Amino acid sequence: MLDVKKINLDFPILSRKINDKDLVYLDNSATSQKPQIVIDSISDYYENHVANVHRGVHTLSDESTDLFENGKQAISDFFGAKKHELIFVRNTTEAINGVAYGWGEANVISGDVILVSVLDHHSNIVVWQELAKRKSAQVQFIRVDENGLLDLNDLSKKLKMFNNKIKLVAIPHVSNALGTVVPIKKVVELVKAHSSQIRILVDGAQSAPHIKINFVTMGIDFFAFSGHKMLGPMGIGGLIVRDELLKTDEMRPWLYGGGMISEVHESHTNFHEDLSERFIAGTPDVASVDGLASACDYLTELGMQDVLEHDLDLVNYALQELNKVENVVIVGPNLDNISELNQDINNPDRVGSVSFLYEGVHAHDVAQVLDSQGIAVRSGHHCTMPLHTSQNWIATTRASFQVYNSREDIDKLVNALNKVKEVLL
Amino acid sequence: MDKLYHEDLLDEAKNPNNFGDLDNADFKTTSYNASCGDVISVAVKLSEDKKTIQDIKWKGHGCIISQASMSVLSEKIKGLSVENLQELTQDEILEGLGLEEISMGRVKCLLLGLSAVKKIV
Repeated sequence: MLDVKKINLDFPILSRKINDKDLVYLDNSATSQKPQIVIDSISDYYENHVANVHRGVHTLSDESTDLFENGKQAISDFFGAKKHELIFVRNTTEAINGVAYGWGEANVISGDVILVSVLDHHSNIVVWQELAKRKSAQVQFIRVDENGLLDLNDLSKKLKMFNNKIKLVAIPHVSNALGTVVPIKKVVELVKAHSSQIRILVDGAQSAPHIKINFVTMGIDFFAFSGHKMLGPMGIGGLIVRDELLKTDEMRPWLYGGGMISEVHESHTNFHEDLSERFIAGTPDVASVDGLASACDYLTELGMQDVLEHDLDLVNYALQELNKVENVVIVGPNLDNISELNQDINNPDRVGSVSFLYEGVHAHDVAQVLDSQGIAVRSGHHCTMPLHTSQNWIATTRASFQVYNSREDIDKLVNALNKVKEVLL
Repeated sequence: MDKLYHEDLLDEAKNPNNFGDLDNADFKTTSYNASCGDVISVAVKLSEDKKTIQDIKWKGHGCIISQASMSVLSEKIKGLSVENLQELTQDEILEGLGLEEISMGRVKCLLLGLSAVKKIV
Protein backbone atom coordinates (compact mmCIF):
# COMPACT_ATOMS: atom_id res chain seq x y z
CA MET A 1 0.00 0.00 0.00
CA LEU A 2 1.32 3.43 -0.90
CA ASP A 3 1.26 6.19 1.69
CA VAL A 4 -0.32 8.77 -0.61
CA LYS A 5 -0.32 11.60 1.94
CA LYS A 6 3.42 11.20 2.46
CA ILE A 7 4.04 10.89 -1.30
CA ASN A 8 2.17 14.17 -1.90
CA LEU A 9 4.73 16.00 0.22
CA ASP A 10 7.46 14.92 -2.22
CA PHE A 11 5.82 16.86 -5.09
CA PRO A 12 6.09 20.62 -4.57
CA ILE A 13 3.64 21.49 -7.36
CA LEU A 14 0.80 19.63 -5.66
CA SER A 15 0.52 22.35 -3.04
CA ARG A 16 -0.47 24.88 -5.73
CA LYS A 17 -3.91 26.41 -5.92
CA ILE A 18 -5.71 26.49 -9.27
CA ASN A 19 -8.63 28.89 -9.56
CA ASP A 20 -8.51 29.24 -5.76
CA LYS A 21 -9.01 25.50 -5.35
CA ASP A 22 -6.54 22.78 -4.35
CA LEU A 23 -4.98 21.33 -7.50
CA VAL A 24 -6.25 17.86 -8.38
CA TYR A 25 -3.91 16.71 -11.13
CA LEU A 26 -5.51 13.95 -13.20
CA ASP A 27 -3.67 14.46 -16.48
CA ASN A 28 -0.82 12.06 -15.78
CA SER A 29 -1.05 10.15 -19.06
CA ALA A 30 -0.05 13.42 -20.75
CA THR A 31 2.76 14.08 -18.32
CA SER A 32 3.43 13.41 -14.65
CA GLN A 33 4.59 15.84 -11.97
CA LYS A 34 8.14 15.59 -10.61
CA PRO A 35 9.22 14.74 -7.06
CA GLN A 36 11.74 16.95 -5.25
CA ILE A 37 14.43 14.28 -5.64
CA VAL A 38 14.26 14.62 -9.44
CA ILE A 39 14.27 18.42 -9.31
CA ASP A 40 17.24 18.30 -6.92
CA SER A 41 19.21 15.96 -9.20
CA ILE A 42 18.89 18.39 -12.07
CA SER A 43 19.76 21.44 -9.95
CA ASP A 44 22.68 19.64 -8.36
CA TYR A 45 24.08 18.75 -11.77
CA TYR A 46 23.92 22.35 -12.99
CA GLU A 47 25.16 23.78 -9.68
CA ASN A 48 28.04 21.39 -9.09
CA HIS A 49 29.00 18.95 -11.85
CA VAL A 50 28.69 20.45 -15.35
CA ALA A 51 31.29 19.28 -17.86
CA ASN A 52 31.11 17.38 -21.10
CA VAL A 53 31.16 13.60 -20.81
CA HIS A 54 33.79 11.20 -22.14
CA ARG A 55 35.89 14.09 -23.38
CA GLY A 56 38.01 15.70 -20.66
CA VAL A 57 40.50 14.43 -18.13
CA HIS A 58 39.67 16.98 -15.47
CA THR A 59 37.71 16.27 -12.29
CA LEU A 60 34.40 17.78 -13.39
CA SER A 61 34.44 15.79 -16.60
CA ASP A 62 34.97 12.63 -14.54
CA GLU A 63 32.08 13.50 -12.24
CA SER A 64 29.78 14.27 -15.15
CA THR A 65 30.78 11.05 -16.93
CA ASP A 66 30.14 9.08 -13.72
CA LEU A 67 26.70 10.61 -13.30
CA PHE A 68 25.86 9.83 -16.92
CA GLU A 69 27.14 6.24 -16.87
CA ASN A 70 25.66 5.42 -13.45
CA GLY A 71 22.38 7.00 -14.54
CA LYS A 72 22.34 4.91 -17.69
CA GLN A 73 23.03 1.76 -15.67
CA ALA A 74 20.24 2.57 -13.19
CA ILE A 75 17.71 3.28 -15.95
CA SER A 76 18.54 0.13 -17.92
CA ASP A 77 18.34 -1.90 -14.67
CA PHE A 78 14.91 -0.40 -14.00
CA PHE A 79 13.71 -1.76 -17.36
CA GLY A 80 15.44 -5.12 -17.02
CA ALA A 81 17.65 -4.33 -20.01
CA LYS A 82 21.38 -4.55 -20.58
CA LYS A 83 23.10 -1.18 -20.39
CA HIS A 84 24.14 -1.21 -24.03
CA GLU A 85 20.58 -2.01 -25.13
CA LEU A 86 19.39 1.42 -23.91
CA ILE A 87 19.59 4.32 -26.36
CA PHE A 88 18.69 7.75 -25.00
CA VAL A 89 16.21 9.81 -26.98
CA ARG A 90 14.00 12.76 -26.09
CA ASN A 91 10.72 10.85 -25.82
CA THR A 92 8.71 7.87 -27.07
CA THR A 93 7.97 9.53 -30.40
CA GLU A 94 11.66 10.04 -31.08
CA ALA A 95 12.34 6.42 -30.07
CA ILE A 96 9.82 5.15 -32.61
CA ASN A 97 11.28 7.44 -35.27
CA GLY A 98 14.67 5.97 -34.35
CA VAL A 99 13.42 2.48 -35.17
CA ALA A 100 12.05 3.74 -38.50
CA TYR A 101 15.37 5.34 -39.47
CA GLY A 102 17.87 3.02 -37.75
CA TRP A 103 16.09 -0.23 -38.61
CA GLY A 104 13.21 0.41 -41.03
CA GLU A 105 15.21 2.20 -43.73
CA ALA A 106 17.45 -0.83 -44.29
CA ASN A 107 14.97 -3.63 -43.55
CA VAL A 108 11.60 -2.64 -44.98
CA ILE A 109 11.24 -2.98 -48.73
CA SER A 110 8.59 -2.51 -51.38
CA GLY A 111 5.47 -4.62 -50.78
CA ASP A 112 6.22 -5.20 -47.07
CA VAL A 113 3.55 -4.81 -44.39
CA ILE A 114 3.84 -3.03 -41.06
CA LEU A 115 1.12 -4.10 -38.63
CA VAL A 116 -0.03 -1.47 -36.15
CA SER A 117 -3.20 -1.38 -34.06
CA VAL A 118 -6.23 0.90 -33.89
CA LEU A 119 -5.24 1.48 -30.25
CA ASP A 120 -1.95 3.09 -31.21
CA HIS A 121 -1.00 6.69 -30.49
CA HIS A 122 -0.41 8.78 -33.63
CA SER A 123 3.32 8.51 -32.99
CA ASN A 124 3.16 4.75 -33.59
CA ILE A 125 1.07 5.20 -36.75
CA VAL A 126 2.30 8.28 -38.61
CA VAL A 127 5.97 7.22 -38.40
CA TRP A 128 5.07 3.94 -40.13
CA GLN A 129 2.81 5.58 -42.72
CA GLU A 130 5.72 7.82 -43.68
CA LEU A 131 8.20 4.91 -43.85
CA ALA A 132 5.66 2.96 -45.92
CA LYS A 133 5.43 5.91 -48.31
CA ARG A 134 9.22 6.03 -48.71
CA LYS A 135 9.45 2.26 -49.26
CA SER A 136 6.21 1.56 -51.17
CA ALA A 137 5.24 -0.65 -48.24
CA GLN A 138 1.85 -0.66 -46.51
CA VAL A 139 0.46 -0.15 -43.00
CA GLN A 140 -2.32 -2.46 -41.81
CA PHE A 141 -4.35 -2.12 -38.61
CA ILE A 142 -5.18 -4.76 -36.01
CA ARG A 143 -8.76 -4.04 -34.87
CA VAL A 144 -10.07 -3.67 -31.33
CA ASP A 145 -13.18 -5.41 -30.00
CA GLU A 146 -16.30 -3.68 -28.63
CA ASN A 147 -14.73 -3.42 -25.15
CA GLY A 148 -11.63 -1.69 -26.42
CA LEU A 149 -9.38 -4.76 -26.14
CA LEU A 150 -6.96 -5.69 -28.90
CA ASP A 151 -8.63 -8.30 -31.12
CA LEU A 152 -6.16 -11.20 -31.06
CA ASN A 153 -8.24 -13.12 -33.60
CA ASP A 154 -7.81 -10.24 -35.99
CA LEU A 155 -4.05 -10.32 -35.33
CA SER A 156 -3.99 -14.04 -36.23
CA LYS A 157 -6.07 -13.33 -39.32
CA LYS A 158 -3.73 -10.55 -40.47
CA LEU A 159 -0.64 -12.66 -39.78
CA LYS A 160 -2.04 -15.31 -42.14
CA MET A 161 -3.35 -12.80 -44.66
CA PHE A 162 -0.08 -10.89 -45.11
CA ASN A 163 2.13 -13.83 -44.19
CA ASN A 164 5.79 -13.32 -45.03
CA LYS A 165 5.25 -9.71 -46.10
CA ILE A 166 5.01 -8.60 -42.46
CA LYS A 167 8.24 -7.06 -41.20
CA LEU A 168 7.13 -5.31 -38.03
CA VAL A 169 4.32 -5.43 -35.49
CA ALA A 170 4.08 -2.09 -33.64
CA ILE A 171 1.68 -2.01 -30.68
CA PRO A 172 1.15 -0.09 -27.46
CA HIS A 173 1.60 -1.82 -24.10
CA VAL A 174 -1.15 0.31 -22.58
CA SER A 175 -3.52 2.46 -24.65
CA ASN A 176 -3.20 6.14 -23.77
CA ALA A 177 -6.84 6.73 -24.71
CA LEU A 178 -8.55 3.75 -23.08
CA GLY A 179 -6.05 2.37 -20.58
CA THR A 180 -6.43 -1.02 -22.29
CA VAL A 181 -3.54 -3.35 -21.52
CA VAL A 182 -2.34 -5.26 -24.57
CA PRO A 183 -1.35 -8.83 -23.60
CA ILE A 184 2.20 -8.58 -24.91
CA LYS A 185 3.04 -12.17 -24.01
CA LYS A 186 0.17 -13.52 -26.13
CA VAL A 187 1.01 -11.16 -29.01
CA VAL A 188 4.65 -12.27 -28.94
CA GLU A 189 3.59 -15.94 -28.91
CA LEU A 190 1.27 -15.46 -31.89
CA VAL A 191 3.79 -13.45 -33.88
CA LYS A 192 6.80 -15.66 -33.12
CA ALA A 193 4.78 -18.83 -33.84
CA HIS A 194 4.10 -17.34 -37.25
CA SER A 195 7.64 -16.22 -38.01
CA SER A 196 10.76 -15.51 -35.99
CA GLN A 197 11.72 -12.89 -38.58
CA ILE A 198 8.98 -10.42 -37.67
CA ARG A 199 10.21 -7.66 -35.35
CA ILE A 200 8.03 -6.43 -32.50
CA LEU A 201 8.00 -2.87 -31.20
CA VAL A 202 6.16 -2.00 -28.00
CA ASP A 203 5.22 1.61 -27.23
CA GLY A 204 5.67 1.62 -23.47
CA ALA A 205 4.91 5.29 -22.84
CA GLN A 206 1.84 4.48 -20.74
CA SER A 207 3.01 1.22 -19.16
CA ALA A 208 6.45 2.26 -17.90
CA PRO A 209 4.97 4.54 -15.19
CA HIS A 210 2.80 1.76 -13.70
CA ILE A 211 3.98 -1.71 -14.69
CA LYS A 212 7.33 -3.35 -13.89
CA ILE A 213 9.03 -3.85 -17.24
CA ASN A 214 11.44 -6.70 -17.83
CA PHE A 215 12.69 -6.13 -21.36
CA VAL A 216 14.69 -9.35 -21.63
CA THR A 217 11.81 -11.64 -20.66
CA MET A 218 9.24 -9.75 -22.78
CA GLY A 219 10.70 -11.34 -25.91
CA ILE A 220 10.30 -8.22 -27.99
CA ASP A 221 12.78 -6.35 -30.17
CA PHE A 222 12.12 -2.68 -29.38
CA PHE A 223 10.66 -0.92 -26.34
CA ALA A 224 10.06 2.84 -26.35
CA PHE A 225 9.35 5.04 -23.32
CA SER A 226 9.26 8.65 -22.12
CA GLY A 227 10.87 9.78 -18.86
CA HIS A 228 8.42 12.60 -18.26
CA LYS A 229 5.42 10.29 -17.85
CA MET A 230 7.19 8.33 -15.11
CA LEU A 231 8.06 11.22 -12.76
CA GLY A 232 11.24 12.10 -14.68
CA PRO A 233 12.18 15.27 -16.55
CA MET A 234 10.80 16.27 -19.94
CA GLY A 235 13.17 15.78 -22.85
CA ILE A 236 14.60 12.38 -21.91
CA GLY A 237 13.33 8.95 -22.86
CA GLY A 238 14.64 5.68 -24.14
CA LEU A 239 14.63 3.20 -26.96
CA ILE A 240 15.62 -0.27 -25.78
CA VAL A 241 16.83 -2.53 -28.58
CA ARG A 242 17.46 -6.28 -28.26
CA ASP A 243 21.24 -6.63 -28.31
CA GLU A 244 21.35 -9.17 -31.12
CA LEU A 245 19.93 -6.52 -33.46
CA LEU A 246 22.73 -4.19 -32.41
CA LYS A 247 25.46 -6.81 -32.69
CA THR A 248 24.41 -7.95 -36.16
CA ASP A 249 24.05 -4.33 -37.33
CA GLU A 250 20.38 -4.93 -38.16
CA MET A 251 19.78 -1.79 -36.07
CA ARG A 252 22.18 0.97 -37.05
CA PRO A 253 22.80 4.49 -35.79
CA TRP A 254 20.50 7.06 -37.36
CA LEU A 255 22.28 10.13 -36.04
CA TYR A 256 25.92 10.65 -36.91
CA GLY A 257 28.67 12.87 -35.58
CA GLY A 258 31.06 13.10 -32.66
CA GLY A 259 31.00 10.69 -29.75
CA MET A 260 29.59 7.75 -31.70
CA ILE A 261 32.73 7.09 -33.74
CA SER A 262 35.97 5.18 -33.19
CA GLU A 263 37.97 6.48 -36.17
CA VAL A 264 37.25 9.12 -38.77
CA HIS A 265 39.30 9.26 -41.98
CA GLU A 266 38.88 11.46 -45.01
CA SER A 267 37.64 8.44 -46.93
CA HIS A 268 35.48 6.70 -44.31
CA THR A 269 34.45 6.39 -40.66
CA ASN A 270 34.30 3.45 -38.28
CA PHE A 271 31.59 3.63 -35.64
CA HIS A 272 32.24 3.12 -31.95
CA GLU A 273 32.73 -0.56 -31.11
CA ASP A 274 31.04 -0.07 -27.77
CA LEU A 275 27.37 -0.50 -28.76
CA SER A 276 26.38 1.76 -25.92
CA GLU A 277 28.44 4.64 -27.35
CA ARG A 278 27.50 4.09 -30.97
CA PHE A 279 24.11 5.71 -30.56
CA ILE A 280 25.23 8.82 -28.71
CA ALA A 281 25.83 11.41 -31.40
CA GLY A 282 26.77 14.73 -29.83
CA THR A 283 26.67 15.84 -26.22
CA PRO A 284 23.97 13.98 -24.27
CA ASP A 285 21.55 15.54 -21.77
CA VAL A 286 23.40 14.48 -18.63
CA ALA A 287 21.19 16.37 -16.16
CA SER A 288 18.05 14.75 -17.55
CA VAL A 289 19.65 11.29 -17.49
CA ASP A 290 20.50 11.88 -13.84
CA GLY A 291 16.98 13.19 -13.20
CA LEU A 292 15.40 10.15 -14.84
CA ALA A 293 17.66 7.83 -12.87
CA SER A 294 16.38 9.54 -9.70
CA ALA A 295 12.78 8.99 -10.86
CA CYS A 296 13.57 5.28 -11.37
CA ASP A 297 15.08 5.16 -7.85
CA TYR A 298 11.98 6.86 -6.46
CA LEU A 299 9.62 4.36 -8.12
CA THR A 300 11.79 1.42 -7.08
CA GLU A 301 11.78 2.71 -3.52
CA LEU A 302 7.95 2.79 -3.60
CA GLY A 303 7.97 -0.66 -5.18
CA MET A 304 6.54 -1.19 -8.66
CA GLN A 305 4.18 -3.89 -7.39
CA ASP A 306 2.65 -1.39 -4.93
CA VAL A 307 2.64 1.30 -7.63
CA LEU A 308 0.57 -0.95 -9.91
CA GLU A 309 -1.72 -2.10 -7.11
CA HIS A 310 -2.39 1.53 -6.22
CA ASP A 311 -3.15 2.40 -9.82
CA LEU A 312 -5.54 -0.53 -10.28
CA ASP A 313 -7.38 0.50 -7.13
CA LEU A 314 -7.81 4.04 -8.51
CA VAL A 315 -8.91 2.80 -11.94
CA ASN A 316 -11.51 0.45 -10.46
CA TYR A 317 -12.74 3.05 -7.97
CA ALA A 318 -13.02 5.66 -10.74
CA LEU A 319 -14.99 3.24 -12.93
CA GLN A 320 -17.29 2.37 -10.02
CA GLU A 321 -17.97 6.02 -9.15
CA LEU A 322 -18.12 7.44 -12.68
CA ASN A 323 -20.58 4.75 -13.74
CA LYS A 324 -22.99 6.35 -11.26
CA VAL A 325 -22.74 9.87 -12.68
CA GLU A 326 -25.66 10.95 -14.83
CA ASN A 327 -24.75 11.55 -18.52
CA VAL A 328 -21.32 9.93 -18.15
CA VAL A 329 -20.57 6.99 -20.44
CA ILE A 330 -17.28 5.17 -19.82
CA VAL A 331 -15.33 4.09 -22.90
CA GLY A 332 -13.06 1.05 -22.99
CA PRO A 333 -12.78 -1.80 -20.49
CA ASN A 334 -15.36 -1.33 -17.73
CA LEU A 335 -16.60 -3.23 -14.67
CA ASP A 336 -19.70 -4.43 -16.50
CA ASN A 337 -18.02 -5.63 -19.69
CA ILE A 338 -14.91 -7.37 -18.31
CA SER A 339 -15.48 -9.85 -15.51
CA GLU A 340 -13.19 -9.35 -12.52
CA LEU A 341 -11.59 -6.32 -14.13
CA ASN A 342 -8.08 -5.72 -12.76
CA GLN A 343 -8.40 -8.44 -10.10
CA ASP A 344 -5.28 -10.29 -11.28
CA ILE A 345 -2.34 -7.98 -10.68
CA ASN A 346 -0.21 -10.08 -13.02
CA ASN A 347 -2.68 -9.64 -15.85
CA PRO A 348 -4.34 -6.24 -15.47
CA ASP A 349 -6.95 -5.18 -18.05
CA ARG A 350 -7.02 -1.40 -17.67
CA VAL A 351 -4.16 0.70 -16.33
CA GLY A 352 -3.52 4.37 -15.72
CA SER A 353 -6.65 6.11 -16.90
CA VAL A 354 -10.42 6.23 -17.27
CA SER A 355 -11.95 8.00 -20.27
CA PHE A 356 -15.56 8.91 -20.78
CA LEU A 357 -18.10 10.73 -22.87
CA TYR A 358 -20.42 13.25 -21.25
CA GLU A 359 -23.66 13.05 -23.21
CA GLY A 360 -24.70 16.36 -24.70
CA VAL A 361 -21.51 18.20 -23.79
CA HIS A 362 -18.24 18.34 -25.72
CA ALA A 363 -15.15 17.10 -23.86
CA HIS A 364 -13.44 20.52 -24.04
CA ASP A 365 -16.37 22.12 -22.27
CA VAL A 366 -16.33 19.38 -19.62
CA ALA A 367 -12.60 19.94 -19.07
CA GLN A 368 -13.10 23.69 -18.85
CA VAL A 369 -15.72 23.35 -16.11
CA LEU A 370 -13.51 20.84 -14.25
CA ASP A 371 -10.60 23.29 -14.44
CA SER A 372 -12.72 25.91 -12.72
CA GLN A 373 -12.84 23.45 -9.81
CA GLY A 374 -9.05 22.99 -9.80
CA ILE A 375 -9.21 19.63 -11.59
CA ALA A 376 -6.83 19.01 -14.51
CA VAL A 377 -7.96 16.39 -17.04
CA ARG A 378 -7.32 15.86 -20.73
CA SER A 379 -9.99 16.34 -23.37
CA GLY A 380 -9.90 15.65 -27.07
CA HIS A 381 -8.91 12.62 -29.10
CA HIS A 382 -5.66 12.07 -27.19
CA CYS A 383 -3.66 11.61 -30.39
CA THR A 384 -5.72 8.54 -31.28
CA MET A 385 -7.88 9.75 -34.14
CA PRO A 386 -8.17 6.32 -35.83
CA LEU A 387 -9.54 4.87 -32.56
CA HIS A 388 -11.96 7.75 -32.04
CA THR A 389 -13.10 7.63 -35.67
CA SER A 390 -13.61 3.85 -35.57
CA GLN A 391 -15.84 4.22 -32.50
CA ASN A 392 -17.59 7.41 -33.70
CA TRP A 393 -16.42 9.41 -30.72
CA ILE A 394 -15.75 13.09 -31.45
CA ALA A 395 -13.75 13.65 -28.29
CA THR A 396 -13.45 12.08 -24.86
CA THR A 397 -12.47 13.30 -21.39
CA ARG A 398 -9.70 11.38 -19.63
CA ALA A 399 -8.76 11.23 -15.96
CA SER A 400 -5.37 9.60 -15.51
CA PHE A 401 -3.52 8.67 -12.35
CA GLN A 402 -0.15 8.63 -10.64
CA VAL A 403 1.25 7.56 -7.28
CA TYR A 404 0.18 10.85 -5.64
CA ASN A 405 -3.51 10.53 -6.57
CA SER A 406 -6.07 9.23 -4.10
CA ARG A 407 -9.68 8.03 -4.05
CA GLU A 408 -10.46 11.48 -2.64
CA ASP A 409 -9.28 13.03 -5.93
CA ILE A 410 -11.79 10.86 -7.78
CA ASP A 411 -14.54 11.96 -5.37
CA LYS A 412 -13.65 15.57 -6.22
CA LEU A 413 -13.81 14.73 -9.93
CA VAL A 414 -17.26 13.20 -9.52
CA ASN A 415 -18.48 16.24 -7.56
CA ALA A 416 -17.12 18.59 -10.21
CA LEU A 417 -18.81 16.57 -12.97
CA ASN A 418 -22.13 17.26 -11.32
CA LYS A 419 -21.33 20.94 -11.79
CA VAL A 420 -21.07 20.40 -15.57
CA LYS A 421 -24.80 19.84 -15.75
CA GLU A 422 -25.45 22.92 -13.64
CA VAL A 423 -23.36 25.18 -15.89
CA LEU A 424 -23.97 23.76 -19.35
CA LEU A 425 -27.22 21.79 -19.54
CA MET B 1 -16.87 29.98 -15.10
CA ASP B 2 -20.29 31.61 -15.49
CA LYS B 3 -18.43 34.49 -17.16
CA LEU B 4 -17.31 32.17 -19.97
CA TYR B 5 -20.41 30.01 -20.36
CA HIS B 6 -22.93 32.84 -20.06
CA GLU B 7 -26.58 32.35 -21.03
CA ASP B 8 -26.38 34.02 -24.46
CA LEU B 9 -23.32 32.03 -25.48
CA LEU B 10 -24.93 28.70 -24.51
CA ASP B 11 -28.00 29.74 -26.46
CA GLU B 12 -25.92 30.73 -29.48
CA ALA B 13 -24.32 27.25 -29.52
CA LYS B 14 -27.59 25.39 -29.00
CA ASN B 15 -29.52 27.38 -31.61
CA PRO B 16 -26.85 28.46 -34.06
CA ASN B 17 -27.52 30.94 -36.85
CA ASN B 18 -27.18 29.87 -40.48
CA PHE B 19 -26.72 26.19 -39.68
CA GLY B 20 -27.19 24.00 -42.75
CA ASP B 21 -26.03 23.66 -46.35
CA LEU B 22 -26.35 25.66 -49.57
CA ASP B 23 -27.27 23.88 -52.81
CA ASN B 24 -26.00 26.65 -55.05
CA ALA B 25 -22.80 27.46 -53.18
CA ASP B 26 -19.97 29.19 -55.06
CA PHE B 27 -17.45 28.08 -52.49
CA LYS B 28 -17.18 25.33 -49.89
CA THR B 29 -14.46 24.88 -47.34
CA THR B 30 -13.76 22.85 -44.22
CA SER B 31 -11.49 23.36 -41.22
CA TYR B 32 -10.44 20.79 -38.64
CA ASN B 33 -9.10 21.25 -35.15
CA ALA B 34 -6.40 18.61 -35.12
CA SER B 35 -6.16 18.56 -31.34
CA CYS B 36 -9.76 17.56 -30.68
CA GLY B 37 -11.37 16.43 -33.93
CA ASP B 38 -13.77 19.36 -34.21
CA VAL B 39 -14.94 20.18 -37.74
CA ILE B 40 -16.61 23.17 -39.37
CA SER B 41 -17.70 23.24 -43.03
CA VAL B 42 -18.77 26.48 -44.63
CA ALA B 43 -20.76 26.99 -47.85
CA VAL B 44 -20.94 30.45 -49.39
CA LYS B 45 -23.03 32.08 -52.14
CA LEU B 46 -21.38 35.15 -53.62
CA SER B 47 -22.99 38.18 -55.26
CA GLU B 48 -23.06 38.38 -59.04
CA ASP B 49 -19.85 40.39 -59.21
CA LYS B 50 -18.29 37.78 -56.85
CA LYS B 51 -17.19 40.52 -54.49
CA THR B 52 -19.67 40.15 -51.64
CA ILE B 53 -20.87 37.30 -49.42
CA GLN B 54 -24.55 37.03 -50.28
CA ASP B 55 -25.41 33.97 -48.22
CA ILE B 56 -23.63 31.57 -45.90
CA LYS B 57 -24.52 28.28 -44.30
CA TRP B 58 -22.31 26.12 -42.13
CA LYS B 59 -22.37 22.83 -40.31
CA GLY B 60 -20.07 20.90 -38.06
CA HIS B 61 -19.59 19.53 -34.62
CA GLY B 62 -17.51 20.61 -31.67
CA CYS B 63 -17.46 22.34 -28.34
CA ILE B 64 -19.65 25.24 -27.28
CA ILE B 65 -16.94 27.80 -28.05
CA SER B 66 -16.31 26.62 -31.63
CA GLN B 67 -20.02 26.34 -32.46
CA ALA B 68 -21.07 29.64 -30.89
CA SER B 69 -18.22 31.55 -32.49
CA MET B 70 -19.06 30.18 -35.95
CA SER B 71 -22.68 31.15 -35.41
CA VAL B 72 -21.71 34.73 -34.53
CA LEU B 73 -19.23 34.84 -37.39
CA SER B 74 -21.80 33.67 -39.96
CA GLU B 75 -24.07 36.59 -39.05
CA LYS B 76 -21.15 39.01 -39.19
CA ILE B 77 -19.98 38.10 -42.68
CA LYS B 78 -23.31 38.06 -44.46
CA GLY B 79 -23.15 41.04 -46.82
CA LEU B 80 -19.46 41.58 -46.14
CA SER B 81 -17.05 42.03 -49.05
CA VAL B 82 -14.76 39.06 -49.70
CA GLU B 83 -11.81 41.41 -49.40
CA ASN B 84 -12.75 42.35 -45.84
CA LEU B 85 -12.95 38.70 -44.73
CA GLN B 86 -9.19 38.55 -44.28
CA GLU B 87 -9.30 41.45 -41.85
CA LEU B 88 -11.61 39.76 -39.34
CA THR B 89 -9.88 39.37 -35.97
CA GLN B 90 -10.04 37.26 -32.84
CA ASP B 91 -11.17 40.32 -30.87
CA GLU B 92 -14.18 40.87 -33.12
CA ILE B 93 -15.33 37.29 -32.53
CA LEU B 94 -14.79 37.63 -28.78
CA GLU B 95 -16.82 40.81 -28.82
CA GLY B 96 -19.57 39.11 -30.79
CA LEU B 97 -19.68 36.37 -28.16
CA GLY B 98 -19.79 38.88 -25.32
CA LEU B 99 -16.44 37.70 -23.97
CA GLU B 100 -13.51 39.83 -22.84
CA GLU B 101 -10.88 37.14 -23.11
CA ILE B 102 -10.29 33.45 -23.73
CA SER B 103 -7.65 31.11 -22.32
CA MET B 104 -4.79 29.97 -24.58
CA GLY B 105 -6.16 26.44 -24.63
CA ARG B 106 -9.42 27.58 -26.20
CA VAL B 107 -8.11 29.99 -28.86
CA LYS B 108 -8.15 27.20 -31.47
CA CYS B 109 -11.81 26.49 -30.66
CA LEU B 110 -12.61 30.18 -31.00
CA LEU B 111 -10.84 30.53 -34.34
CA LEU B 112 -11.88 27.26 -36.03
CA GLY B 113 -14.74 28.90 -37.94
CA LEU B 114 -12.65 31.92 -38.85
CA SER B 115 -9.93 29.71 -40.31
CA ALA B 116 -12.55 28.10 -42.57
CA VAL B 117 -14.00 31.45 -43.57
CA LYS B 118 -10.61 32.92 -44.41
CA LYS B 119 -10.09 30.24 -47.04
CA ILE B 120 -12.85 31.85 -49.10
CA VAL B 121 -11.17 33.77 -51.89
